[in-house]
Amino acid sequence: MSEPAIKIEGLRFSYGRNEVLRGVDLVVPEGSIFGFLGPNGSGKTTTIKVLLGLLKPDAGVCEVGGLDSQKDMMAVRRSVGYMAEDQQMFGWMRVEQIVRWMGSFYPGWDEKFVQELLDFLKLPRKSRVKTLSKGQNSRLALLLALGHRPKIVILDDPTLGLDPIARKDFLRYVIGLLQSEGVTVFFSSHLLYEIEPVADYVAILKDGVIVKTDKTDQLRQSVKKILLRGAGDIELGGVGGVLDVARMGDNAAVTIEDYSETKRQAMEKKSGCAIVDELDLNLDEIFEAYIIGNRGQRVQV
Amino acid sequence: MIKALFWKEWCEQRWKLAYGCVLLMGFVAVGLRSRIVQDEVIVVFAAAGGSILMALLVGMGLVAAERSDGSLGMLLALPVSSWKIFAVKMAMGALVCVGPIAGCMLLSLVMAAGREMSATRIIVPCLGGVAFGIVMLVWMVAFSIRQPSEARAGLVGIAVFMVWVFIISLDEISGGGLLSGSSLAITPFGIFDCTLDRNYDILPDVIQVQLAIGTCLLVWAAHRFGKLGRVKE
Amino acid sequence: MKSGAALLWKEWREIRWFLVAGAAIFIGWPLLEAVGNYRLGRGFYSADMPEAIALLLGGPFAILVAVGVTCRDLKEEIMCFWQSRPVSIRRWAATKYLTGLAVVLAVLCVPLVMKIFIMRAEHELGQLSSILTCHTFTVILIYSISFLAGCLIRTPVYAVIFSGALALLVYFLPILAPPLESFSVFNIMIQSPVVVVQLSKLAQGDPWIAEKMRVVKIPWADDLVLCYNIDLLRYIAFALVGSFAAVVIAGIAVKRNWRLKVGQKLMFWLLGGVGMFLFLTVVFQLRSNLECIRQIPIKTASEKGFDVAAIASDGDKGVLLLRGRKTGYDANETAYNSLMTFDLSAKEPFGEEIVLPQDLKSTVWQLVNRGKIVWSAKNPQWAYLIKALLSEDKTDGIMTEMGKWKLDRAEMLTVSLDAGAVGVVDKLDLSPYLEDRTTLWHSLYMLNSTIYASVSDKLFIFDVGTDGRPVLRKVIKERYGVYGGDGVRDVSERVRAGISVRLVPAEGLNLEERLKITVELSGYRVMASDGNIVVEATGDFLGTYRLKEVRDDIATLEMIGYRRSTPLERFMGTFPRQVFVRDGLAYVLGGLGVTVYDVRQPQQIRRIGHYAAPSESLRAIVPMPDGNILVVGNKLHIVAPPKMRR
Repeated sequence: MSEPAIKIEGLRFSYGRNEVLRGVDLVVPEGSIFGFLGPNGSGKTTTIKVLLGLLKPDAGVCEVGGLDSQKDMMAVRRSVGYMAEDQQMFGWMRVEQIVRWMGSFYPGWDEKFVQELLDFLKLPRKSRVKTLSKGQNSRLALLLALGHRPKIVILDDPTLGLDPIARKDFLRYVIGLLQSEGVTVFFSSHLLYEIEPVADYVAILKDGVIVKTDKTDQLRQSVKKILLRGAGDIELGGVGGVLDVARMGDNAAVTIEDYSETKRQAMEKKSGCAIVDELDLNLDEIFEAYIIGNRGQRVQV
Repeated sequence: MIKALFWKEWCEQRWKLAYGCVLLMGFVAVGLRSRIVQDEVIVVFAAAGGSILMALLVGMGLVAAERSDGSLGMLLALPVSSWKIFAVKMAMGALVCVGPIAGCMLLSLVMAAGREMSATRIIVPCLGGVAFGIVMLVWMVAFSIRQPSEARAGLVGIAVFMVWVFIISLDEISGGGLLSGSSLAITPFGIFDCTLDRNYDILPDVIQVQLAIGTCLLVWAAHRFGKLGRVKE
Repeated sequence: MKSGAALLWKEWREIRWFLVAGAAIFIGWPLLEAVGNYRLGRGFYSADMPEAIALLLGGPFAILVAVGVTCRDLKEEIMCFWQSRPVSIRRWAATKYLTGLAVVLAVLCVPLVMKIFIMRAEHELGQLSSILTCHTFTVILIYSISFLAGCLIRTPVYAVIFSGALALLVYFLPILAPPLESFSVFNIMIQSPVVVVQLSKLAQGDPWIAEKMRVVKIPWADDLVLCYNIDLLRYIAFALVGSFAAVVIAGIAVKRNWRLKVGQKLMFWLLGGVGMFLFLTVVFQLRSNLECIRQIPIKTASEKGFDVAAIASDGDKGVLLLRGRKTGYDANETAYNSLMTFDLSAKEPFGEEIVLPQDLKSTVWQLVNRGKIVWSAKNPQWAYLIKALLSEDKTDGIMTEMGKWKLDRAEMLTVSLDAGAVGVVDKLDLSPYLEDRTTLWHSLYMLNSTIYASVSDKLFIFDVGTDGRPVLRKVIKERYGVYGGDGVRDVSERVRAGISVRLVPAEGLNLEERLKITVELSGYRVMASDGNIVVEATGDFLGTYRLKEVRDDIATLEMIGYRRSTPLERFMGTFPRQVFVRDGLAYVLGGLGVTVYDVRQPQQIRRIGHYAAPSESLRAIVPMPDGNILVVGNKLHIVAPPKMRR
């Protein structure tokens, strides 16, 4: 098995007394497109900054491409392409200037590739950065992240502030450029519907810990919403993996992870109710269940 | 509505008034009491230095601070003409500029009138300082009104001051003549210069010229104030 | 391009406007002045502008550049952008620091170097070289501190304000706190720490240069050497160490993301607070705390104001020598015009103004000397003064501020002070007795009915008869005066060496009287005696001496204590003009007013009082019989002595 592109073990980080990361463990397989999900303030950007050596963790180890992100941070930055959330650059520079300037810092900067990218991304070479639109800004930031042909690309909420069409276009560029080259793409977002079609893996970060990591389609298959018909209190205690319980008309809707035949029988036995239906969920609903699910043990119908 | 605007400006600017009063009046009180330099030096320094300091402090925070905070858009979206908003800002700014110098004048009169300087000799430069402060405020705000941050507005304000000092010194270096007497009226220093030199004959003319220039600058500034536009750093 | 070159290119592109603005002010302004002077036929030079601009604006410019280079890249979002790239923070910081420093130094030093080059024929470059060598390092220190402030605070306005407050402390705190004296740039500059001197002059043995300075040959000029003060090296070391520490901390601050979160109000109050603290410290040291009991304006006939040139008084009554301003300050144009008697106990304090004949002339700068008029309460209707006529002599004359002059004539004048009198009633021509015409200074002293006049190289002794007219009794050529301590810059040298007084050879006088006369006539030495100790006031210190021995008319005084002037006093220019001692207190009249020192314990001299009338030029102090002090300026001030602690 090949070395993971990114490995995080026991990562802890606090801003003053506010503990943001409470033991994050994560493995990003090489060559995958990895979606890093979490609500606002969950610690996604903090995790990424630790990966790049921009922040020093309180505990834990981070490795990017086999390099320790604290000890070899320069090497990490040289090998990784990074695009920050709402990337701000030197406004006075022209596009061609900032591209040329950035190239000075990467030994592997591919000038020919960059020129092709400039055309592909339709970026005006002579314009100053501060005059670019939001979409152009994002594309320029992406170009600067890719110019040195990195094997690992980290995108922190790259589509923030873009309209739906611009977002779609952006993701198309990313996937189009990178997927075929076996580049590992680690990108964070809270817009599930745009990650869902492209991500091979997802990890869900909640309150500083990873609550779920899995392949995307496997996750879709393993998390189900079960409808139970019953009356009065329906007890579900002892059935593991319950993410959320709610009343849905005359039924109880139970969102449960790692759904299997065993769990099905356990639910029927425990609740004494009949299972009316098993529903597939999209990533949005799965995410919601993990983040704001009540983990209930009882529901009244 | 106007009262609400005044109240808002007052809440934002009052600390500057307190700051100016404490600093300048403290300086005057200590300086006049200790008598380490002539009373006139203390009074003139407080008037001149105070007016420049307050004009800069007030000028850079009047519009640019709101612009950098992002609250200017909300202000301009209110159902009040933008020129009224601007007028309220300038009025409050002028009050904050004037207050400390007026305080210094009163304190000087109490502490030192009749000692080395007569009451008139104290009042006149202070009034000149007040006028200078207001004129500098108008110039600074007019040129820095579109600046996106306080730092830039401050730099522009200093640049306006330095440019005028440069022009006057250039005129003196080249033998003088262009900017002497009534011609000094076009510079921000016109009124203050007249009061210091006790050149009262030309003072009414100077005031008129300054009023005209100030009005033009204010109109220009008010016109640009109302435009939000794309002001990026 | 390489990463280093890329960083440099970026910095240059961002900072070049500072260079343009700086060049316009620091170079353009003096250049315009030089062009203006050239057009007016004065030659292509700029008088004081390069130095003035460097001193006034060098610090602020350094602050703006330092904050400008740092804060721009340290905004949260921009910092994330470049820090996430393989940009070494050390290299980033070094590039920023050095680029900004290069701009500051270029703007600051180029005009000074240009002026030195233009003025290179004048070897005494004095102030110019001081500013270039001392102030430049101060600016480097301020730049480095501001660089650190920018890295810590990261908001431009607040960083500028914070740096401004620190710069005020760098400039002024060492002046105000005596232990920090060595770190005061003004203190170092006042000492002219770098001079270019002709080798021949050095060979003549200027003791000051030999003792305090080190000498280096200038390779391209055979007859010139560069002398530098070792205090300067200490100051430069301080500035460089401070700068280095600031830069290192700045680099660590960026690397570890240290941040000083400050608000606008806090910064402004900090700046104001520092300013007030410095001002209050000055005030505490220099304030007037002696009570003025009464002020009596002097009313004269002069239309454009007057100066009190001299006074002779017993404290209650006396006569003033007034110089009315009529024509200006050229030699032989301005005269001391009138005498006016005063009696403080009378209802109308001043008598009639006696206008002296217009042929009574003297050079202006002579008028600041002491003892120009004498008078006695026993014969209050007469006053005596020396009339000295000078003429310009470009060959044999002595160099003064207004060219070369020599003494032409000297006369002892007797003036009648009676109401309705004609003025000058007697003249005694002293010119035949004068040999050395290059000593322009003269002084007078009256004791009982004898007048001692020191004119040129002679001592004249007059007896005043019952008719009030002086009769010349004796002319003495022998040297007398106070010696020792000349050229000694440090007071500790004076402690070892002491001073000698060659006493006036006057018969019938006791030692104390002879000492008093010699001290009064001794010219540039500001000294006084109360019979117990001798007090000397200089710009650098106040010293007390006691008589060690007398042998062959030479009294040796050994120093028993001294009080060094504080850096602030030296900075403000407290050059003493007159001193007297009474009841264990030394009253010194200087540039700042009258300062009172407690010399009852001569080894521990304490400054206990001060009186200033800053709008006036104070000319003299006279002890009054009731214990008060009469201070003479444009008014007569009756000042109470300080309240003494037992």
